[in-house]
Amino acid sequence: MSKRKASHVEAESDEAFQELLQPTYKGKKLLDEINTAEDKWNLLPAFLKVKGLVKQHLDSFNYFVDVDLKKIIRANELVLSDVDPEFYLKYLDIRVGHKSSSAPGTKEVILPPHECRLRDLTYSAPIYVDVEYTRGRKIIMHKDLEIGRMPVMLRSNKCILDGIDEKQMARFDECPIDPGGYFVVNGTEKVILVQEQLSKNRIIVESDDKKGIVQASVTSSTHERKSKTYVITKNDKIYLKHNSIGEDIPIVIVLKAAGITSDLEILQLVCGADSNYQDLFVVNFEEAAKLQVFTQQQALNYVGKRVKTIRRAGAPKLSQLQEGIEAIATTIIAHITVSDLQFREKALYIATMARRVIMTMHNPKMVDDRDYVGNKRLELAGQLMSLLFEDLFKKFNSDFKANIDKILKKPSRTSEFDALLSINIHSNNITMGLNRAISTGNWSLKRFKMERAGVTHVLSRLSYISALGMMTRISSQFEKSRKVSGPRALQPSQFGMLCTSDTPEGEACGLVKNLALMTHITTDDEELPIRKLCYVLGCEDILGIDSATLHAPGNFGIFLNGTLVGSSRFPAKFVNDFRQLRRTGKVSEFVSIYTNTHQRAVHIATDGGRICRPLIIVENNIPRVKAHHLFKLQNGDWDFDDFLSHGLVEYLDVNEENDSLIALYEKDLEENAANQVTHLEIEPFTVLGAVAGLIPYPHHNQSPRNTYQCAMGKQAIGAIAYNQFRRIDTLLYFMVYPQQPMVKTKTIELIEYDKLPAGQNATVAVMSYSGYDIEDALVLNKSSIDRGFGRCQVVRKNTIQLKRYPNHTKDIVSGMRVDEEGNAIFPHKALGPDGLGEIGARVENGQVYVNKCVPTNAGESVLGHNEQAQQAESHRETPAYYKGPEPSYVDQVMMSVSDNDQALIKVLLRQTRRPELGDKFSSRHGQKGVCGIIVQQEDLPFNDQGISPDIIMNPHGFPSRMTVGKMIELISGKAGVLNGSLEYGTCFGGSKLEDMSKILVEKGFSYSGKDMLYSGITGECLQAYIFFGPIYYQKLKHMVLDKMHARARGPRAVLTRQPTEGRSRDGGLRLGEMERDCVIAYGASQLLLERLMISSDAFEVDICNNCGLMGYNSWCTTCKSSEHIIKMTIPYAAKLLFQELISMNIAPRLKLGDVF
Amino acid sequence: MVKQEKGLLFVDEEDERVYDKEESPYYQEDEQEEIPDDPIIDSIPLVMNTLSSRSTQSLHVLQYPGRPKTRPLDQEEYRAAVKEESNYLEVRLPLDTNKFFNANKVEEWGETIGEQTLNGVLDKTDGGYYVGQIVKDGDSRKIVLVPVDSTTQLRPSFKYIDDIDQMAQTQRRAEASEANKNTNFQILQSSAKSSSQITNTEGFGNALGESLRHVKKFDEEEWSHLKWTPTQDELAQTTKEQLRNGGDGVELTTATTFGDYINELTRA
Repeated sequence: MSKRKASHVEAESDEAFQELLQPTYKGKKLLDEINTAEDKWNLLPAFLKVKGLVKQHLDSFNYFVDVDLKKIIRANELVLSDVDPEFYLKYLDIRVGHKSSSAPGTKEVILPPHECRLRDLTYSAPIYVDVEYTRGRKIIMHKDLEIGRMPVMLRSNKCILDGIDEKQMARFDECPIDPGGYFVVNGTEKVILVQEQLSKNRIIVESDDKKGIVQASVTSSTHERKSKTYVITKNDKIYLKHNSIGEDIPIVIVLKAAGITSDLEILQLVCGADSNYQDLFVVNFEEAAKLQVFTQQQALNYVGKRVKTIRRAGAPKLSQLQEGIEAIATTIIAHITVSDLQFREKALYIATMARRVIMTMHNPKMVDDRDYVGNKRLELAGQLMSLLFEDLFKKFNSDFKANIDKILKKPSRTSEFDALLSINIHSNNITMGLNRAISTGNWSLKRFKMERAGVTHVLSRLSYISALGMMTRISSQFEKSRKVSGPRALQPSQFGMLCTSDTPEGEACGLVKNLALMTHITTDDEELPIRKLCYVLGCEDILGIDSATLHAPGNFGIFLNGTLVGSSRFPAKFVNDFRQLRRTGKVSEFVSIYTNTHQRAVHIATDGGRICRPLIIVENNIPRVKAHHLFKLQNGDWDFDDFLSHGLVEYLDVNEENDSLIALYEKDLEENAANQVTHLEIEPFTVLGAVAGLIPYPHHNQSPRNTYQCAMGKQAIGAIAYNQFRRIDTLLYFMVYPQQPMVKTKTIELIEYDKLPAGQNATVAVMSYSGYDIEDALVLNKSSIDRGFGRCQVVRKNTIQLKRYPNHTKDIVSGMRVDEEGNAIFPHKALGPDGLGEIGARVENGQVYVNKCVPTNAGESVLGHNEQAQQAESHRETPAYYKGPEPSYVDQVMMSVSDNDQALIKVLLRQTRRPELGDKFSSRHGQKGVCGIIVQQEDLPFNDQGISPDIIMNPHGFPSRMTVGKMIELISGKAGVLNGSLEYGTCFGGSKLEDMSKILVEKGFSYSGKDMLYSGITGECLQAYIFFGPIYYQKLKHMVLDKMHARARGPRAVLTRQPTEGRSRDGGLRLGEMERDCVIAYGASQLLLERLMISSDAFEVDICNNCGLMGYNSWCTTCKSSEHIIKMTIPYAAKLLFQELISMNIAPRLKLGDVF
Repeated sequence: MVKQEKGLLFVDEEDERVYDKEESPYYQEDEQEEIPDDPIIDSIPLVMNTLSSRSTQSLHVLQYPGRPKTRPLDQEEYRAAVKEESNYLEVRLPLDTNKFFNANKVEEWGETIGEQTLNGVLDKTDGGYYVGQIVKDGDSRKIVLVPVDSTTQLRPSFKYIDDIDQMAQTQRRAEASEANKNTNFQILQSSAKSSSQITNTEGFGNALGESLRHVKKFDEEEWSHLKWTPTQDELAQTTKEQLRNGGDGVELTTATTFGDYINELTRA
């Protein structure tokens, strides 16, 4: 909206139009009354205006370049030399995309993103650092040193598209609706998918009932290391387990090693005053006593003795005691740091883990759920980039250090050493490292010894919605092959956070998820101020509490990001006060706080990757958002953030949601007067994501149908972006006349699907016709197709590179060749005199679109006879031929230079396709079907107005599918057509069926949507009333033209001499194992012989009936005779097998008998 | 109850609660605005005070977890020592051998155990903690708040067991290598003392992990001994009196608003 306003100012003349073009979704005029219950959904567009559809990616990337990079620099700020103790280099600051001297708001990027796409470049910005280093005796400051280039996420704050209006977008050839959030690397658009992981630094308690094991585990993650610590039960005794310790350590010994030497205190910390817990725990003391461990020193020695030491070269040998201290202080639960020998915090953490185990042993219901969304964290582009960058930066520094050490080691240097000279050498490593990781998707982090593949994906540009769907996708780390149902199941806690419908079918079902419409993913927040605030709000410092009171009744532990920081006797007040501060904006709105009464704990979370969503705050069962607030919003005086800062709306993450009572509708508030409702949903349809939001009336459909539509909506052909005709992608599909749906949803308007639609409103008659409509096949109206229904264009990119060779020769493009009459020869018909396909020229199978020639002597060496070579530079034609069953037209030809100075030619070939038999269509309700027959319009039924359907759909599609939403769509659509309005099919809302029926009746139609039709063939009235009206139909990318395939003769594989495989290689159709079994069972031996040998790889061999081996040329080399040679035909594969066996010293001998 | 020596002063925690200084103003403001049905019952003047000479004196809260309130440590003089750099405090008490004491074990160990060692890390408070006392003087009451430098929890370290271990080990090593006999260890502190086989040369100081560097620093630092003053001592009494009443009469007004304060706190 802001963009639109900005363009107002610029173009006065357009203003009148702009007014008309204003979206009507606000639905109301200025004088209309505002009703909070109805209009609170206006918060949603306001939210999306601030947040955008892919805000999670942008936020994460912005956080990375603005905050995280600086933290990384600070953590690795010094480069020292082993040789010269005087030398140092210190990083002071880091910036991406602008110099310290440049004006604020400067965005220094290589080229506009679209140019990068076209020229196969990486859309990147320079990384500048400020350094301070010594040269001789002097200390030198150097600003704006470039250490590499950072790929820039489109629409992030480092991108030139950030905050510009529609007009400027057009100038950059960019689509204003495109959400951004991806990278352009080597010309391809790459998305870093959101990764779902179990949360770090939190205790998860699990139990295995069969083995009787309870385990509390925590994955500690710091910048340097990642490790997992377990507290487990073994024979009802509790142990601590860690990878770096050889055997499990009894928990009492660990606690003693961490400084809690008194058994009384251990008991107080783990069990409190609960005698049940004490009885369960007591056995552990015996174990420690048996092992003669009483003091901290003994315990440390005990631990130290069992540490698996991995000594790096040069590191000193540590004593047992030191090993023990090191293990307790840094290795175990690594995310808690020990300073000043104060082990208390760590001891308490271990004690807490043990306590959770004891609690679960006592009551097995106290386990945590791994699949609970509150226990998950989402890893976004920024976090992944930061891991990668830190790794590369460390490598960069160590390379740099090695380099300066080498130079400094030289005893006599001619000039004074300047470190800056050698830093530039390695700058390519960072650039290349980032580029390679994003373009291949292989994330390899040396520090964590981690290797992850498939992190990035090519952005799907099939349609706008497929690109959008990809940006909201979340992939899980779980293995697809494992047969566990838990991670795949729909979790109640994902309500409102993750889309309930949008997940693929098949192996990735439930593992790949999508974000709901109104979610936000947090970025890391500073912990220290929150901690200080806790103490001010009445939380007692953990270091000042004695162990006995910690678990005293009524005392609640206060946990900040999973770590115990204090305790409070008034948790309700504490939580309330904290929330009050958050609502006034004193604390970041994304910090969550909730009470867990089972664990008697208050948990505060500031970490990144939590999913949260905004809700309206309710007080005394009255929502805080009032009509006058919404009025301000509509007037543009307020935006979404004002609602946050005024404490009307707040973000809740999954855990805090569990601490609240959320009303779905305003009417529920009155009904629930007895309950203390805390929040109110902004709009219930936001439980669905962007893709599922396209479905009209999804709440009337059987749920799998919505899931099917989510998969199919991404395959629909439609408009891609405003710049779609400027794009040169490998493969693009455009719909020729896309229409916005008659029945839309609020989601459609919010994501602007109505501006880039993928489908057409077809008039559908639900009836049987012609028999070519069985199994969901559709009957299409030929005249509709002539008018452009379902017509699409397919454009395909062909890239040709003109290489340069080391001997100074290079590829060239030579002009067309002509016959005697001066006309171009057939293969060169499409070429112009420059050797490139002419724009608009028709290219048929076997014709050339770029006549490239390579030098004949390209491989020759540079040295020697180079004079001769230059004179007689001859070329050989290696033209690019067009291959395909249907001709194409040259759409665009682009010539450019890629970054390695080689000429790059891209030829875009276009085909226009009208629907044909076998093309796939689908409505928005998971009802797919192929075109079964195309019928002349005059043969189709028609109604009183003479309207005949575009599509006839067989009614058998309804009963088993139960897609009632589709029927209502038809009625609403029909009412909309008659009424001249667009109707809504929004989930849990939308235009009411009753109202729609009323419109139909008013316009003289049946309330049911059924019409009387006349047969187009006989002209008689049909015996039944036909359900007849518009339904939005999508054309899917699966088209017959891309799949049709037949072969009589053709290429064979070299090794086996069998026909090749696959359509692209003109392959044969396989008679597979199961088909073979059928033929055998039927006894059709001659057919079997023909299919498996004669039509495949028949081969005539000479067999020696004497030795049974194969000879050749009527001569047996084994018997040295031609006497017993018999010619016979066997499959070439069999001959190959015999030869392979012979090569293994096995002699397969054939004994031939007479046939008759 | 208050003891002073060498600039250090300890206040027993038993009968004094530790409050957050900002707790009250915030709550008052909050309650007046938001919760009208929480009336003010009583008001007591708050007095803020500090030690008379902050440069040489410091105030610490010592906690004795595991020690009953009925046995305060304010009657006798005990031996105490501190490592200021490492923020480490050690107190030695005579062991009460009358109760819960296994005399047989002592015989077995062949040692006379007469002393108990309590030690703990002094946790700096960064000025955020105050020690408070409600002083009743006839009808007038007041709450005196004094800033605390650090708090610590003192725990027994069973040093005598480690000493025995150490002795046994030394003996074993001595037997193993008669020629290179080590004589007489002087172990001051148990929990973090690294054994002497480590060559504490400067060379690898940097190679140690952070925690081990702390240990090394701790080991190298000398104990500075403190004097323990019983509560009844005159010096302690005067200090106590000064803290109680020294801050009277001066009225402080705050220039910081509640909002400023919260902003200050939550600023990253």
